[in-house]
Amino acid sequence: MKLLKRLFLGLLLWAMLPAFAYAQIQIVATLPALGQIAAAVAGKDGDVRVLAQVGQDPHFVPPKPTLARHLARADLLVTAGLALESGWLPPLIELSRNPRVRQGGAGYFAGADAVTIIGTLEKTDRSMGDVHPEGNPHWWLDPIRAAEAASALARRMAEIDPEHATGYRQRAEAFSAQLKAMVVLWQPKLAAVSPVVSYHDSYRYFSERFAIPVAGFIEPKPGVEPSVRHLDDLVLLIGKQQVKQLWVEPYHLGRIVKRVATLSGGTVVIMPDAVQGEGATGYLAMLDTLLNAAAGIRP
Amino acid sequence: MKYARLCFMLAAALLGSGNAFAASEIEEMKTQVQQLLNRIEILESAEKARIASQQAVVEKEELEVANSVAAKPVNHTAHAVAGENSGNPSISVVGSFTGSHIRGNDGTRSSSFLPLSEAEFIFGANIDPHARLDVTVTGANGGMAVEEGFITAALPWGLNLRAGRKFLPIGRVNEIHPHALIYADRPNGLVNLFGPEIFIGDGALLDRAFFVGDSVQTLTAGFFSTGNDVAFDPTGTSQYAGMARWTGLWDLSDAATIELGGNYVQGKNGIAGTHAMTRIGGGHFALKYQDISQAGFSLEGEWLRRWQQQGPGVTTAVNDGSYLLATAALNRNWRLFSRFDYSREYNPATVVWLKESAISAGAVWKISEFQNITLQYKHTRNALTEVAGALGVTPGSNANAWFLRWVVAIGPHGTHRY
Repeated sequence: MKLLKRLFLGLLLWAMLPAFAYAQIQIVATLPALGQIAAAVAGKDGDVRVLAQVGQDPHFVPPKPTLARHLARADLLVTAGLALESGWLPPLIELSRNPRVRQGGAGYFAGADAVTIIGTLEKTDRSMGDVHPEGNPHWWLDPIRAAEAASALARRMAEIDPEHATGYRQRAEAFSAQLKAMVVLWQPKLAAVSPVVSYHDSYRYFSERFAIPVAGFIEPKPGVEPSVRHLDDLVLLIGKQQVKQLWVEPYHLGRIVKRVATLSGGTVVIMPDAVQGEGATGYLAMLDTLLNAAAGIRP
Repeated sequence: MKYARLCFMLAAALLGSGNAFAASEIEEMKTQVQQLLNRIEILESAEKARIASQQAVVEKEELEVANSVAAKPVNHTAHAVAGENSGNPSISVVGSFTGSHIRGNDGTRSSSFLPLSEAEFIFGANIDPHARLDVTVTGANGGMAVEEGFITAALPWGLNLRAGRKFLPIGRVNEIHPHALIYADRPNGLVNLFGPEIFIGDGALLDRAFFVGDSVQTLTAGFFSTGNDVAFDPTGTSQYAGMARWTGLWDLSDAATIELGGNYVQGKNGIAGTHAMTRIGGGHFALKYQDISQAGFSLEGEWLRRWQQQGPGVTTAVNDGSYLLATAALNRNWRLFSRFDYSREYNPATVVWLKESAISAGAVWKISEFQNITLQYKHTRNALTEVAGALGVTPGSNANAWFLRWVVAIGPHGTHRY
């Protein structure tokens, strides 16, 4: 009898558990920086989980089925959009069996839908490499677009959780003000930066925002490994355009980049698309890292 | 009187001069206040101008970006283009060009150089908000066939229904399309259990994922008919069977996972027109590690046993099929693998176990997401009947085989399973 009572109580507690656990809005972000933007807006009213790790290539995150457990209870899924996560996110959404976060659902948010996109292509095929026809998806590296996405996120969070709408809006405004101030502060400092070469076209939004000229790419086409001939041409270009920095994502750092640096005399600069840190602090720390690196200021 | 007059005149003079002093001081103070007000006004306008200039900088930048976007037409056009095709299914074609050179110790040999061994035409789209259809038509050996064609529907309580023709989820490998495997052949253990073709069923599968702690546990149950002539009726007539499956996947760390699973299949095999049954049971595991640079390793294996009743009074035929696979990803583009296959077959006639083993090794060059080349060597010892047939050697003989496979994919190909 005692055993039955304990079993009954246990089941009752287990059944009640979700009610306690989900007091906050449950948010899942695909990428660490998106998680930080979402956390900056959600504040104490949301619980944010991130699927990819800091330093991981956002195009190639292993779709571990265990990641779907976060999506299963999510009220809101924050993605970059423009098919950046199309290689690994769909099977996780399917496995989660959560209709809220399916594309088109009330809980599906693609940041790219909230910002002005650049790099769109009218006609594409795979001979152009792993291009994103609807635009370059690395928008979160531009502080102003991040601010726009934060505002749109606040509106979406308010729709899902109207009770805390004011808090979401106020936090988004405060976050946006910080980002705009950062742009105002850094634009003059980066006005005279030499042209750079980057590995992949990840930094287009960032470089355009701060008017940093990008002379070329180590990849001849997105996602395609460079040939020796391409690298030879690139080394000549680096010399000709007096390129000082070779920007590289942490996951692309390898012998090819080091070889180009040795041959050209350029400096390899690791430009992370996310750093460790919570919410606004983490996102601002990433921007700080990028801006200091671009200005040639060593930490 | 004179004194009084003098006092009055003095007082009047003093008062008069005091009033004059006070008036000039007030005027002075007024001037100073006015100057202060002017200064405040100047400072206020300077501050306003500074804020306005900051806003102008930001707005100018945004305008420049907007203009640059306007100059490149196509954010909305791209959406429009996608919209025009939104009613059509996604279509992709996967071509496998597999050449081989096989030499048996019985003197047989065969070779081919990169023929189009298999072409898969994959169509898929949502039917409506409730269900999706995926069809794979495969062309191989001069013929075309619907290899898979099933409806996927999300049911209440987290249940997922797949109905139609499907590669059956038995073990780890059977459900995976051959082009997605790291090696160019099929493990000998599976060939001995199910024949050279994939074990396919027509029916319905229900599965449900449970997220328990940091793990995901998936239960599957299904009922299907199959024309497999190795595990079921040798004459190829369709037989009904049921299956149950469990898989569990745990995170060991951010970069490592372990998967365990078990399967059971049971159905009438139609042998000799009796109620003879075929039962298949077994388990599998996979340990995977991948760091953020995409280098990593995996160790996986599966073991299946088939009990095939041969009719009343005849001893049940028992077959074991298994493999152990190790892979190493050197980077995003290069992978190495080695596989050990082991099979055994209980021969009721001679009351002995016939045993077969094979060892393979190979390398894969992943040129891009949509193209890879595999070179594989396999040495098979004491080939059992089904493997001998697939290799073109006599049963019981040894064989050395080289495979060269080039896989290409065009179209919006879906994600391969983890």
